[in-house]
Amino acid sequence: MWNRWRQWTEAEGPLVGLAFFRIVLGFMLWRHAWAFVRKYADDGFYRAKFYVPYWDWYPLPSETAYLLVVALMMIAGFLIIIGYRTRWALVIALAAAGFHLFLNQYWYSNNRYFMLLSLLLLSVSPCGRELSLDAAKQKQKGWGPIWTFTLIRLQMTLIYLASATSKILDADWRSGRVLWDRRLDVAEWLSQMDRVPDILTALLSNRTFFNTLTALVLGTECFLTIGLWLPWTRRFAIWVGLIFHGYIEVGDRVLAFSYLSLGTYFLVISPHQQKRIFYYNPQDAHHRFWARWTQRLDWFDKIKLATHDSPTLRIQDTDGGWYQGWMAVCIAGAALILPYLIAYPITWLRFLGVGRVEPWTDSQGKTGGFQPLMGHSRARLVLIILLCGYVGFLWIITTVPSLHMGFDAAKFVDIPVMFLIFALTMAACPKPAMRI
Amino acid sequence: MNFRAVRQFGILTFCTAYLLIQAAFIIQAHFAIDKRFGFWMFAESSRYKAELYRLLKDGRLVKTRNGKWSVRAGDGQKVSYSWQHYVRDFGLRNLEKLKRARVGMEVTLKYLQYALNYVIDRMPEDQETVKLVLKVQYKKAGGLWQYATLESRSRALSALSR
Repeated sequence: MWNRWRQWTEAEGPLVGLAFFRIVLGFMLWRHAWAFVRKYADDGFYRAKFYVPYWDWYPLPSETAYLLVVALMMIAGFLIIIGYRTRWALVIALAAAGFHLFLNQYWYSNNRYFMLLSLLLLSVSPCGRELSLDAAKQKQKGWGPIWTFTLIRLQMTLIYLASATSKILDADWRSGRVLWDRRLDVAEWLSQMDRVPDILTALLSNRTFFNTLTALVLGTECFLTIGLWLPWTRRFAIWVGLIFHGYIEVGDRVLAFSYLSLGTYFLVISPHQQKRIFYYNPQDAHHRFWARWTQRLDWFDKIKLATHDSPTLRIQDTDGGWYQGWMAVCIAGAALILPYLIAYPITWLRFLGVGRVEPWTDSQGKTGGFQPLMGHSRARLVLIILLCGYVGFLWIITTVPSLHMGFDAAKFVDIPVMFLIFALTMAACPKPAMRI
Repeated sequence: MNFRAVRQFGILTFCTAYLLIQAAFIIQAHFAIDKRFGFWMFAESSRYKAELYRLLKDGRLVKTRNGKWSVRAGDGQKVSYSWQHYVRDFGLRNLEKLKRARVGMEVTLKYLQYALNYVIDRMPEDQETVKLVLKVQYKKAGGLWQYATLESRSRALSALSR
């Protein structure tokens, strides 16, 4: 037993997930500090207004010292993103953000606390050994101890567990009254509209809908608590988590919490590399396009590219099954970060046999070709139905909660900015790749 | 004991201590009104509306206009005060409007009480108000309306007017 634990502390693996989480954290720290800069510009020094200090003995900063702390947070956030003197940047960020959090009692929020914990955990991790200036300088290979992966994931599990437990223990939450009461926000917004769609009015006055929604929220949190740990539910749990946190972020601005929670999912991604083989025809421009983009977006090195002389794109998935055409593209997309949200649910169609092909052998035992399990027109029809349903689902879950918030352009800029940072980082740290 | 064994033991101790502390924080949050460090998400759905009153030295209770009032200072100049000028965060800024309590109602009442004491200490030109009073009407998760009256500490006006 003791030996197993000792081995656990020594286990090593690829650090790319940790590096991505580091980038998300740096961006969130920067974003968090920037919010306080804006607040300072609008309202002035916080101590000139009402605030609630924690303890009498806690040192309160002068205006200059306060600005210095916020500036330190911003600088450290930037250094964490680019991975320059990463550990020092994390420790300074932890000290500055920790000091800042305890200046005012009502500045506490779960997302700031989670950010602080993430800074602490990353400061003891080797997250600077991949996708960083430090790694480039020291020519490190992006490989190292991974016990902090487990600890950060356990932290996230504790958060889901705490959140689910607090709701289950609360009679108001359990009975659906809390969500039922929150409908008033939407109702208030709707009252300002000239014409309200009947379906929305009916939905908002339907208690069963809110009871179902409550059960769904509690079920989702319980599922995420364990689903992210089990190999056979992990990919589905990541997709559920993306929808769940996306839904919360659209309806309520929790910023760091949504992004950091989703950032921990980089640590959930399986460490196995190049388990899928994507076959393309180098003579075909269309094939080269998909192969090139697959390679560019394959940040976790999940797909191995191979050439063949068939006119059809084909992929061999981790389970050994063969898929071709758009299903091959979707399966490749579901192994990548950027198109995951869209591509992954489409791959569920393979369970119906869509896009799946079986290799057949001739009388001499040689592979003669691939036999599709479903006809092209039927497969396309199923795809269109699924796509329409899925887009409708995404529309509903983003539109309904955002009704009472209005469209907040600023928060929707964060996601493209973050992906831009990822893309720039990956462009700056290229991996050896085959020429396409 | 070599360095490697010390390192392994250090990592295991750190992880165990970290998780135990986190678990302890989560459990204590169940008993704390502000749910701090407990990861209570959207803990309750409470709404409240608060009205600010001034208790004058002649004993009258005068309602402010949405947290704003004016007084004549010692030199006869008109001086205006506003709740919103001092209290800006945690959703405590806007009075006389029904709004959601952040985190929970108990912690909102706690901060409103602190805010009353904060404001009463920062109106030196107002030599009429002895005390600020906040009448709060609230309900939790669609329950019945409840009422609370918060009072700031009293001021010794004679000391101020000197």
